Amino acid sequence: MQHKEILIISITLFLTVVGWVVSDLYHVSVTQKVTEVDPRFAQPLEIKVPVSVFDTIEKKQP
Amino acid sequence: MKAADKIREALNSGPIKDYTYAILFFFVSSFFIVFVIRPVLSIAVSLQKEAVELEEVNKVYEENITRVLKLQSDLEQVRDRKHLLTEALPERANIKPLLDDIQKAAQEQGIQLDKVAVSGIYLKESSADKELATSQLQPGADLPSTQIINLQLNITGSYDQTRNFIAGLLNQRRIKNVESFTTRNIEFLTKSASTGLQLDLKIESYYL
Repeated sequence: MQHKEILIISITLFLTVVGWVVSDLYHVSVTQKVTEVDPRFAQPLEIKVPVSVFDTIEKKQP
Repeated sequence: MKAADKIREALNSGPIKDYTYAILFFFVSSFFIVFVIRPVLSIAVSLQKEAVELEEVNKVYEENITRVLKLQSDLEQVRDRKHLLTEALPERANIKPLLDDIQKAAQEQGIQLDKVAVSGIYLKESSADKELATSQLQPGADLPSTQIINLQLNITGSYDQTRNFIAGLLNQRRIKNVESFTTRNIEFLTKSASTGLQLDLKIESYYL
């Protein structure tokens, strides 16, 4: 086998490896997920105490 | 010429020497990329993405902590007035106080209560049923809705009395909602407004 052919094979191998690594990094960045967080705490809490309701009730006759 | 001399001579020739270095460079680089650089970069990208996601989670947690503190502050503010909620929306039907409220409003306005009918009450509900219903609640699920008590009143009074009676009912702490009212006669349209106005009132009250 000629040296030139080996060079071409090595360049092809090198480029393939580089492409494989880049695609692998992209795959990792897209599919990587954080460990599952308890969904009860991961969602913003939407609980409110309507203080004005107490004022309204207080004004009414017992 | 010996074989070793032939190889040495071949390696020393210009073009072959360049190819050898280049070939070695690409092979060694490929090896390092696969076994050294790729794992390190993979871990770095993974950690960076995890850091970004954890920052978002941390932000939500901080917001939730702030909201819980606000909620705690609000609850402390209304803690002394908690009984108002029980008065407005009791845990049980509490029919007698409800009827007392209606009777009181009627007496205050001089309204004649001809008929009072109550429906929509479960007279017996075991505590086990309530506990089962509570335990089946999933986090984030809607809370169970309130129970409705339907009241049907037939009243007689003048227009002003009736109006004040309804206003008096709605001004009581126990929550009531006038669903509908219909007149049973139209004498008040032809005679004085002080004559008897007969009304059928449908009222809803609630409990948990």
